[in-house]
Amino acid sequence: MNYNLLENITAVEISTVIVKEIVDEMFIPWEVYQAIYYLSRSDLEQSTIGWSLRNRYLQLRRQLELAYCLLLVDPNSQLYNRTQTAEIKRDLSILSQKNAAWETIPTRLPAPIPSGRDQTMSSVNRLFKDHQFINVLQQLNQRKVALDRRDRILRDSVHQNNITDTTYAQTSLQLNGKIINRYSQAILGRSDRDLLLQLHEQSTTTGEQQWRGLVQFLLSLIAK
Amino acid sequence: MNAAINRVLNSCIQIKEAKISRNAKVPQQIYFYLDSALLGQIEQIRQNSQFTLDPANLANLRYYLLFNSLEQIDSMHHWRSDSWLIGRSPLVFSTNYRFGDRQQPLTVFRSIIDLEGKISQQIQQELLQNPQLLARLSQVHYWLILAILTQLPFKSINQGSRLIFCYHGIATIIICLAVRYFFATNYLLWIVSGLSVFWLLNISLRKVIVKQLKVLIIYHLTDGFLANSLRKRQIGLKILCLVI
Repeated sequence: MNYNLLENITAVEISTVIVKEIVDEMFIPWEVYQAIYYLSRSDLEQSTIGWSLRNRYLQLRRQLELAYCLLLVDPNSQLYNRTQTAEIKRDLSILSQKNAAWETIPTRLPAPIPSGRDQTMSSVNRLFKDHQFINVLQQLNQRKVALDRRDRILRDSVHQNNITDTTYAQTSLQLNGKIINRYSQAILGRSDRDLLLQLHEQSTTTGEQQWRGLVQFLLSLIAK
Repeated sequence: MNAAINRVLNSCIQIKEAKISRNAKVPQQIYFYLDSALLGQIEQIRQNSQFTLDPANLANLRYYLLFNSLEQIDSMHHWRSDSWLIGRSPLVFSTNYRFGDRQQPLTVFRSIIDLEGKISQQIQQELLQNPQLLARLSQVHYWLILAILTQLPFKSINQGSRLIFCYHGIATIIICLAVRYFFATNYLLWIVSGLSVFWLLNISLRKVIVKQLKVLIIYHLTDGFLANSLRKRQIGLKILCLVI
């Protein structure tokens, strides 16, 4: 599943966030895996998570299952499983859709905490040695962190114009020339709206330059 | 004047490392430590002078980028080593600012740059209460990152190309003389063999030896014996410049 990263980049996406506190986030694969693995509709319904976010949390679980199944059917992956290929390919069409039908498919992911006598941690550890899987896990973790923040805001927020800890503006510069700007509705009613927009404009300009700087470094290493 | 300015700027850059085993540390993120006096100095420097990274910072920052981008390099160049691919992360640049009334500096800006094209700029909310300081800090934070990133790409050292050219020339002359010695009358064979030898050496040296050497140096810079001290990293990066 080796791919040329630069050929697969279609857009540069710059987000600006006002945060209560800038903290160092540490990525521990097992903790993230466990948190997403155990997400289920029934558990979410019993939790305090806002109902508007529950389906988005559930999608994280679907995406984790989907990523694993794609690795199982990829002959270039170390997790490739030839005996299950036909069966998994049938399920992939359901897993790739956002509707609820995917929840009826029995999970193929190894349990984070082995329960049965024949289950061991080795299958989970094997999963964490696959860098493609770790990449997906990292991305899902970022989305989960954003959802957790959003959930906290929805519960704690005393007024609607609070933008702390959520992305208030995002700009996507696409290769086909399109530029898409997304803004949080909450900034519209704020007195410091112009300052926030100016900040995002600055972060977009420099963000694109920062990314270009990183690409130039890599090209200096490999291009010749 | 310029040396003093560079010393000031270089002194505010720190790389935070995380210990992953008894002997190994990996770079995690870059911090700029600022206070009001330093902020004022950098604003002046920005307008009048150029900022040059000192050799230690240059080596450490290149190492930081190399270490955290290796997975992407591997995906583009198809280099293999599973041990390289664990624990890499996006680049993180943070600015810590010490407010006059506080003992501890506060992280006020953070830029998270992912080669996949996702960039997140985080701003600490207290700064919104002071738009003037916010504007000053944002300009300095972004300027420092760009000033660093523009200095990091590897520039091939001409001596490296000259060495390869000399090696080609000497080897070609020796083989041509040998051909001339054994086939003294056949000038056509002499010319053809000379050109062939030059072409073969060019392919073998550039495509095989140099590429393998580059892979070997990068491997040792990130996970091997060149990784564990600044001096070794500097040597490794110098050799890398020679073979790029």
